[in-house]
Amino acid sequence: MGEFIIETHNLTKRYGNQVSVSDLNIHVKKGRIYGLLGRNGAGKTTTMRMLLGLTAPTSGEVKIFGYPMQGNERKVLPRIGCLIESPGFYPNLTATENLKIFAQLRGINKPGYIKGALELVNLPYRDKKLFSEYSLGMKQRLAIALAIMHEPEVLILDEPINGLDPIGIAEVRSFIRKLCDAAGKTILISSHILSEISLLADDIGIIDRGILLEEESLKELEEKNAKFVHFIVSDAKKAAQIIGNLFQTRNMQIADNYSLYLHDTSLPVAKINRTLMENGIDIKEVHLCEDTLEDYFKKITGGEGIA
Amino acid sequence: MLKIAKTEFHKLKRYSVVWIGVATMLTVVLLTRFMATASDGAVHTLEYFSNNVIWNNFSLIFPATITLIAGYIIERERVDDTLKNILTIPIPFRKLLAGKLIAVGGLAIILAAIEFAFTMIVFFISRFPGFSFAGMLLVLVKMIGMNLFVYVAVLPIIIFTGQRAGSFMAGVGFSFFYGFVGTFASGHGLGNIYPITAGLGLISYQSGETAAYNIFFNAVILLLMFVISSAMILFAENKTPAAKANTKVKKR
Ligand SMILES: Nc1ncnc2c1ncn2[C@@H]1O[C@H](COP(=O)(O)OP(=O)(O)OP(=O)(O)O)[C@@H](O)[C@H]1O
Ligand SMILES: [Mg+2]
Repeated sequence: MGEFIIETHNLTKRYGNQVSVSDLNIHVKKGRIYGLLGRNGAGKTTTMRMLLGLTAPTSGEVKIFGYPMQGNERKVLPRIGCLIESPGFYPNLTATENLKIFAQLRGINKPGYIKGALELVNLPYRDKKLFSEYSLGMKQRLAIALAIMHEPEVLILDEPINGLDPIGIAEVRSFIRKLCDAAGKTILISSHILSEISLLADDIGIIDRGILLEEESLKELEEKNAKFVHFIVSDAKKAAQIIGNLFQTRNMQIADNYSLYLHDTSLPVAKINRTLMENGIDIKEVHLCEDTLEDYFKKITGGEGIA
Repeated sequence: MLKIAKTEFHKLKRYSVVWIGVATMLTVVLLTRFMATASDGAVHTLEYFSNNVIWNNFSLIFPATITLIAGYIIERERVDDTLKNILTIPIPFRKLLAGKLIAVGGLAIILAAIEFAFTMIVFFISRFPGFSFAGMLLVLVKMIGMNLFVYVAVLPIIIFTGQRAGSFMAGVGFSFFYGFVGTFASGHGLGNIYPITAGLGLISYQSGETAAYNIFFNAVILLLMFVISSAMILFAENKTPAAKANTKVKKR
């Protein structure tokens, strides 16, 4: 097995003339959380369905645990837990009855596993409520319970926080984090919510219109973001000269008569302030500014941004 | 596959389709009772009455009923969106289908038992003559046998429509027609090779005029239906509307 748990080679899916996923190459490393980020219709669900063999690729290949998915389903799939799109359960049964059916089909009969899975997602065991009477968030929790019930090594979760309330989101986030850190599971998670992915993922793949635009670690991505110190002073030109002489730097930009952007954020701002004042320049404001991930996302997807 | 069939019974809990089966069994027995009132002075012994129930059941009720129940049980995995949970276990669609068909076979037996129970109740309430304990057991065996044979006869329809999302109601209509034609087939000497009526010989159904059964033909035709069904299951796959759209585009 290589270093990647999940890997695709030029994975492509066409529906008629429409290309939903185009030459996708993603690489999910062992023991890490990989966030697949994209807007509605970007191709996240289609990609995940192909990873799980639910949809046949038009071309390209999926490799999981180093095995090609096609032909190795019986070897690969039992080691994966998944949640694809909306939760699918039998409406005439309770949560416990539903999980029992899937456990029987999987052939697991470890004592207490259903109770454990339900407890993890904060749902009551042996509740009388039928699935059809569940709220959206409860359904989503049950789907997560189903995904983790058989203790898989890999989790593939398509928008798992859909429909959860803020506290639910925080809960799910922390237990996904725990599954990864404590239990060493590898997790592929998709979302159209940038802030969610940036809070949770170690590695990020950005997909737009079926194309993977970027794939890197969250750290690298954050470092790419432009950071600068914004000075508002009585004379921007003069201030630029003073700073330039003091630190031998030209890495700054004069926006107008009063605004100065210093792009080298490693310089000591306090010392700059003192020097400017000593040279008779009044300082009105100083800010540390940062382009957000959102700005970055807008930039690479061509302007429209994301929810 | 038995494991899958077992879970199918758990999935039926609080499921109204089961009651459709019970209601149709009651219907067929009551229908036969009213026809008995209308008929000329024939004496309705247990054998005569139960034979009429069996006849009405296979020609009017059971083929459509069992196709409907099977269709529901298969289609619900798509409607409830549970199919993805099963396919990723992984249980291939054809295995799931086979498990479901075994379970429906069990339901065919249960429905026969219900048909039998209603028959006996109506028989006793009507104070028809000719009761014997052995005769009663024979009625049960014949009803179970006939339901299973009719089930085998409609299996290819169930398997064909079961693979295609949203098409099972067409199968129900076809099954009804298929059963209805059975009356005419047996009237024109085709009863031995018409799949729906082939079971009559095997349960040695005796109507007023003694029919000439060819048990060998009966067995061969039903075996053939079974083999065709098994082959269809072997190559069964889930054909979703998306896949259909896909092939349409390719054909153009
Ligand atoms: N079965 C299908 N038949 C035809 N087109 C499809 C099918 N499934 C998906 N598509 C198309 O593929 C594209 C990608 O869809 P997909 O569901 O993968 O997006 P997504 O990233 O999961 O979006 P969302 O955030 O809304 O869930 C969409 O344009 C969609 O219309
Ligand atoms: Mg989606």
